[in-house]
Amino acid sequence: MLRRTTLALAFCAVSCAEVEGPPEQSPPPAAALGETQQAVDSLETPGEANSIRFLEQSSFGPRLGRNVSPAPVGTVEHVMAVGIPQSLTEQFSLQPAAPFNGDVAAADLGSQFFLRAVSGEDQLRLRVAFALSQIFVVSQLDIPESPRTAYSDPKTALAAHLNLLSTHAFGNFRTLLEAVTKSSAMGRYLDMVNNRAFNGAGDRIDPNENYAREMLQLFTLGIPKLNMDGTVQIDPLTGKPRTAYTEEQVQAFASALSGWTWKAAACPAKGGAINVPDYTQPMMPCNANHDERSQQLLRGVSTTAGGTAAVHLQQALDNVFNDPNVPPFISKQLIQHLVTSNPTPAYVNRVALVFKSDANGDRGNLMSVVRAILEDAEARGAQPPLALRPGFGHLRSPALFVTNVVRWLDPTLDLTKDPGLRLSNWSRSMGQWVPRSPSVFSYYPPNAPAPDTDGLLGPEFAILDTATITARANFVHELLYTNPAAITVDYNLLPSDNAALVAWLGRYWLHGTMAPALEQRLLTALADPDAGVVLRKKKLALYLTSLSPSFQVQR
Amino acid sequence: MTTTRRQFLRGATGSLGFLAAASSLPRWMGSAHAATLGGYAGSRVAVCVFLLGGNDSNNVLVPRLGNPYQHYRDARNVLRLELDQLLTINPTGLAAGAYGLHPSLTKVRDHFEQGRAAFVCNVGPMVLPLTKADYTASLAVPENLFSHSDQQDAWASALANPTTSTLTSDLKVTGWGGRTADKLHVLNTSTPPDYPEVTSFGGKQRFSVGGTRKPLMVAADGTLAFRTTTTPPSAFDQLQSQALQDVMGIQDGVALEASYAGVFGTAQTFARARAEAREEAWSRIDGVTRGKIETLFETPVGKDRWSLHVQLYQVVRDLVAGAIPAASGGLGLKRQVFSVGFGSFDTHQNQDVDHPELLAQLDYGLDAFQQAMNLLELDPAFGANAPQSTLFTMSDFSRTLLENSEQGTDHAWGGHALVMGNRVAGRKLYGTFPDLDLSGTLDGSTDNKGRWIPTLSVEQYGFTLASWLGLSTVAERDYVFPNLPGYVQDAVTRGFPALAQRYKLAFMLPD
Repeated sequence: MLRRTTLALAFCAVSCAEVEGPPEQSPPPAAALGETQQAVDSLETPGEANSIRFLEQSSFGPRLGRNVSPAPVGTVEHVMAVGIPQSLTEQFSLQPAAPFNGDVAAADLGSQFFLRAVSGEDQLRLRVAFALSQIFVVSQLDIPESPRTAYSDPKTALAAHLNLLSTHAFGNFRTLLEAVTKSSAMGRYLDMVNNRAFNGAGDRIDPNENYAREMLQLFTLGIPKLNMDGTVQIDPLTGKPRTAYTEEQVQAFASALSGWTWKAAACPAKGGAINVPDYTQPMMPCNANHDERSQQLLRGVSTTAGGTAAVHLQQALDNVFNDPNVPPFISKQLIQHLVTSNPTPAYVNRVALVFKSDANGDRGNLMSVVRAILEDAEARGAQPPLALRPGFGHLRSPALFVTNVVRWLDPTLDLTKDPGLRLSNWSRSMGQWVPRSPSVFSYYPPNAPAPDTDGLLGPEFAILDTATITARANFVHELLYTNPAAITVDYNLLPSDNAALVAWLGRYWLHGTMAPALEQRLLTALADPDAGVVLRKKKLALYLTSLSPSFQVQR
Repeated sequence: MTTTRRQFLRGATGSLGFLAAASSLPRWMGSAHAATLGGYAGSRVAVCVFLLGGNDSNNVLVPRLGNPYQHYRDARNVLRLELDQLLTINPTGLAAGAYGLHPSLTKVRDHFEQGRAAFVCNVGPMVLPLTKADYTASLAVPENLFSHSDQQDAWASALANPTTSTLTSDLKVTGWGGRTADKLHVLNTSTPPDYPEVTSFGGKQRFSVGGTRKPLMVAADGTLAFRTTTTPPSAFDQLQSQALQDVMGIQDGVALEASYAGVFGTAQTFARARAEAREEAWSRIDGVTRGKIETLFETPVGKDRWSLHVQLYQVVRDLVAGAIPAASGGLGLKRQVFSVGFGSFDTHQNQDVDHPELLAQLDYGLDAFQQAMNLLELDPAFGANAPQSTLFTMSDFSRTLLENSEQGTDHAWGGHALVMGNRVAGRKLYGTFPDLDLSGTLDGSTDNKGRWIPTLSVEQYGFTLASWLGLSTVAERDYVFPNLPGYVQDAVTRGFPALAQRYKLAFMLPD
């Protein structure tokens, strides 16, 4: 299955072992690139730095075309050639080479994810699906195995979940919300499956509130009532934030969403459950276990008295989808995942307005939302807008750090040695074990503060500590200095001359933002007698650049 | 002094020069009314065990007699523990066998009965003491009750009203463990200087973060070290390490880059000191004792997914490193705080299967840790100054007494916490056990499902532990627990029960 997902990968034909031998002579391949830099840096004719930034935001890392003509999709040269809008249009239509495979014999899902991230063509789809997977969280760690199924329950469930998010990444949010709500993986993860409104004696009982609460708090509304620009609404009388929903509304949604169970030939009796999981199909409604009474939802809307489980689910999801909190709540998080942790309210507002109603008048069109995020003036240009630079960017999450380093290095992957698992385990060591977030709050929460900034958000910093930052350095060290057999880097692709090497890293890895002080420190290190042979110097430069604050924060 | 110590450290994290400079500052600077070692000249540690997901403490501590037990039975059809399942305990001042523990907690029961453990009943996040009427009228109710992340934060920060509190925004994201460290720092003349007071192997990160003092976060298996190409590090390794340290100082005027570099500086500075001190200090402990401790923490057969005992073993290793004087190769710390934790307590479903296993893991880890501390108490390496530990639990919230339709329970509020150690005034229940009668007035519950309105606050619980560590002055107390004075004042003004009017509880033995 893995072989079918490969695109630009080559096998190690003879030996992947690298010898740290004599200095290499080969020249840097992309010396002519700068000449294609456009005089006018616009959406249609983006410059090189702007194009690299676009790929940092819209993919798992920029790649270089290396004189292949025409430049392949996903390379810097290609974006420069066709422009941002066309690049987006192309990415919207790309499909995965193969879906995530939940078979017991298939590679670990984390491995599949990383292999697709570093080598798949459908970069934006997977990047958005990955962002969505951190909003609509299901964790492989919390789907139990069942002796009643012939397959691995956690793996089958998570493969289905990741495929669902990939399928709907550019679709409508309402459709996505319904698919997630009915999905058996989510049903198990947040207890919507077999959630009954009656016990075996036929008496009414209060359904489990878990899914209803997290759906409101994490998937759609958040806790405070928001303005369209994502700022919190304060009640002028109490001085406290207004809340987006009440405890009673949580219980109302729990009742409205009661009665669903595993897909089976027939529904159980009142108060009964289906005990054989089926993670290959959505859940099914069973009216005998549904609270048929009318429920008071948001904004004074009620469900129909006597309605079925299916009808009430539609009414509940329509009600929440149309809440004014949804556009800013979802838009801001997508911006944070793709572009910057602290977007201006104006940026959030522009994107949220597109979420509310795009050019065709559609609400919740994620394709339009993603385009609005990535074409926005706050995201574009060779650098962030000057006034915003001190607070701009986001710490690369472990997964993005791994994939960006790997895609820049453009290694040969030996698919017989499961390189994806290696990448996944590195990400795991840094606190992001895909797809196994520790809780429904994902790997890190969107409102986590950046340390010592007096109020800036830095979601990814929630998992950056002495242990995981050490793991960041150790990942780069292991990749460069242990020559993993599954991942072979051709260091001949990098310039050999010290000054050319540092210039190359500044131009590409930092898209032209390398500070003179950093440039000088790298040159000093490379000139040190202890730096060793050319190959060692290249690795030293890569180690220092990739771990520099300038690279760690995607800007 | 015009710049705060914090600004000073912040501005200099790019290079390690700050360490030498910081160590030359007088220890008392900025801390005129300092924390005190008064209680104990040796090493003291507090260990926070965070039960992530919301532990159902209704099934941890169960009344065994009369109406209370009947009320418990009435609420729980599937999940109830029968009388013959409960492990009987005999808390001081109550009728014999008045309470029982969950059958998984056999070793905790023994420690309780031997006076080394106590329960603090119905404690939870509070801003002001609340009656049911206050709650119904939404007066001073903690923000976002029943939400995991918010209530974990409330426990960890001892701040149940983060939005409306007048605390500065940088302190709102700290925890009471970290803020206690801010104040205890003056007691630790460690080598190297400024070694973090708090070391975390798990649990809730926020608990460990202080305003000025940052924790050492370590993987659950105890590892924290930068890779080198050779051992010992070659000239190339040293060149690379030094260059990286310098590169961290180049931050492009971008705030998030400075945040990243700050974390890196802490890691690079203290990782090696810790590794060396752990090895050296451990070698000072009697070999037989070390062997016994290693055995205590061995992973039981078939329990490879258990993590608590792995973390607590690392706590033992780090507290030994801290307690051994610098002259003998240790870090020479007088006061430390540790954070550990494990998850899956969110038992909305199948609690009858999952909860006993979780508590078995808790029982095993706590017992191994306590036995290790008992062994260390006798080790000649420490003389008369053996390390003392108090271990205590926190959890998002307790769960509804009324079970749901899926052999599970839902999110609630106040619950029972466990404290354990040789300085605990044990074999006792502190606080007020809630009225489990769901057909009664429900004065103590938010609704008819049994979600207890806490009768003790996280601050009272936390301050008791922090003062045992050495927090002494009113200013220190109010810095670490900013809502506590208002809570106590309101309890006095409105005539709440005597317990609500106390800053501190009585579960630690007086020094």
